[in-house]
Amino acid sequence: MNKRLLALLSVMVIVGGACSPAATQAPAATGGAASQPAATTAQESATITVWARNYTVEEGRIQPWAPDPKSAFEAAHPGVTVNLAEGVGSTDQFNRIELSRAGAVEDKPDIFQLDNIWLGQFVDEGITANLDSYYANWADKSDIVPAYANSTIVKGSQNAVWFYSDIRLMVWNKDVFKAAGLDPEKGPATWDELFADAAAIKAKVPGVSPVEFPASSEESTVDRFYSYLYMTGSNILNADNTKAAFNDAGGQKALQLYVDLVKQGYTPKAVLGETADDNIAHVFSGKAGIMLATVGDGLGSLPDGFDVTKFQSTIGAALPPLCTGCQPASTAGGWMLAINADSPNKDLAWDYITRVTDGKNMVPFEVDRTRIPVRTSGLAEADAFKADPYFAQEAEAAKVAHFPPFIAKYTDMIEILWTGMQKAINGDLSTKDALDEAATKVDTLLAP
Amino acid sequence: MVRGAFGRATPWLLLALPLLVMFLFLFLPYLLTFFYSTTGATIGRLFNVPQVGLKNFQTVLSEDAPSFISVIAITAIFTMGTLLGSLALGTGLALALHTVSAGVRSALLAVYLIPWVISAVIIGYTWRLIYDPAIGLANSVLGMVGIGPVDWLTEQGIALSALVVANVWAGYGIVLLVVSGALANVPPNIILAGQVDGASYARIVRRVILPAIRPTFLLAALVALVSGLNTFDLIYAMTRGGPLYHTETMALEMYRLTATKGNIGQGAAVTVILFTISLALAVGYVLIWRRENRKWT
Repeated sequence: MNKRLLALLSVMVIVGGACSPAATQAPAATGGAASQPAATTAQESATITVWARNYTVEEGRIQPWAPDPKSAFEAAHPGVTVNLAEGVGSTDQFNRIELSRAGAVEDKPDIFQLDNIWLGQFVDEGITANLDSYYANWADKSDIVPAYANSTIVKGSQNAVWFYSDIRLMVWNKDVFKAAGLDPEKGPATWDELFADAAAIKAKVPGVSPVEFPASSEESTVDRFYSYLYMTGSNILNADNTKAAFNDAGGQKALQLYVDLVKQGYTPKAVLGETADDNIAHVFSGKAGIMLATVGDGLGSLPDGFDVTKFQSTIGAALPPLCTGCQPASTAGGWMLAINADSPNKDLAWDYITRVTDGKNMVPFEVDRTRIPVRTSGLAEADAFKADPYFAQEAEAAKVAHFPPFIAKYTDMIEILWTGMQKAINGDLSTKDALDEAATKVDTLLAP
Repeated sequence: MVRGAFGRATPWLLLALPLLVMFLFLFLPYLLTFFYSTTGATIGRLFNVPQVGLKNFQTVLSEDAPSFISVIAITAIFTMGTLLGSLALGTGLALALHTVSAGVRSALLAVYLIPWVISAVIIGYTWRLIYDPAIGLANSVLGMVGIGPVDWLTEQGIALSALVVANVWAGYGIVLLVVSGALANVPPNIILAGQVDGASYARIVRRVILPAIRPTFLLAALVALVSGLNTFDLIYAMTRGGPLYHTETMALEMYRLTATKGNIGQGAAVTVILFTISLALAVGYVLIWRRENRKWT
């Protein structure tokens, strides 16, 4: 009997090990984020639970949520409190919202922060409340930059309020440029200049990657590529978001830029394993000369030992360089706030959202994190943004920025796109074949 | 008579709590996983899910990016590499430690076990830094001896080998611990007899020590095998299965489908396949263990 029992236990332990990653790991990473129960139904003594990104509720840094908006809101609604739940990273934020909808976690937010690329999916799944009636009576709606205000309309209705935005700029390391005999204050403005600068860095600064871009299996790979795609006149999807458009001549030209940089030895093939965070760390440390596109000018991701003065003397930033016959372009991303469709306190949630997203309230946070205001009143606070040495470039990029499509299957679509990009960069397929293959898969994915 | 009945029930009473815990935390998740593998569950829809039969298995097995065959092949190579590397390093170190005094052995054993007690995620990020082509130690060392930089985590063959090295470093400790324990129980007189007969240490190891610890060695091998098969966190921290799914093992495939794509049904289908493979290995182990046990008792 002992032997049988031992054998049985061995089998269970071994097989238990086999099942643990799928059965427990993914949900465990996402659960337990909020610490308080969801709002009650009585508005007189309600709690408004907010699920935000980690860095917007970081202790010791400027927060858009508090102290002013929170205290003013609570003073205006005696008995109502705001519960700023624990902030989490991007993936965990997505998962906890989805799990909450599925009923797999008890906590439910009244307000949640969402990446703009999730909006289509969340609307499709009925997670976000329809905000048309609130927008209709909202005086401040005209303060939102029209391109942004229009982007929150999905299926003909308003579903979210823009929180803050970010924009893509090219950055370079001035010390590397000096060592290569280049003008440290002038980054490449065209693709020809990009290759010329890369050649100079390669020749004169050994051990440094002249140009980097993310190409690993994650979202920043496509996000940082879009600016180059847009400038050629190409787009990600067609006008009604039903078919791939990235495989046209412009898309091929943009991807060929990446392929040529690798082929000519200006970009290490190792970028296939690197994220945007890896690239920017390399630029800051002087191990890379140029990063084709990053969030803002990189001021928001300062490493230890850097202050604004050192940042400005080390890092340069400008609009992504242009190809011949192309138009200036950048990519806008950012975060929105939405009200949970199941929230019993939608009116209160809306009131708090309007206080938080107020243009003037957002400015200190946006300056601190080098985010771009989505309000005209915020953009008018030019003096406040003087702390960001490249705010002028960011504002310039904002004028030519494009949004990725807010479609329900966006996260599935970008996996197909980055896999196609990797095949071309790795030399497995030509740019045309790689993008055509990806486009066929995207068309199948988006087919009704 | 009452005492007799109570006596017979004692083992089951003692086992009741562990069995309940096992039911809740092992069998119930298994059952749920099996259930979800036949449904169209997604991360946003976990209840009232539609039944899809074996469709998830068909989808997973016919997927071309990555193909399931390549996932199986990568898993097999990674697992075998981990197994052989852990056994070689763990057993080699245990044998080396067996030759020094007990005090020194204890101190060194504690040092050698450090990687085993460090979180795999930390080990993964550490090795990722070591392999960083721009600022990593690996290329710096190569540069000192005049060898050009290597894209450690980009080229498929090199990336898989680099992951195996990191995983062996992370996991050889359990083999070292188990084999060291077994070596301590090898009767000194049979080693002495070999020495008296003039056998070299290598010959004694091959002909005397290793056969004496064979059952334990088998256990260490099984632990290393299952550890390799289920490695997730270290690979995720180092490559996330990329680029181009070149390092995507079954554990990573489970995670990608479940957590990244939110397709609980397909992720559960991969889990069931991995479960079946692990079950086959477990049954094989028990059969071999029983045969070996009969030999030695």
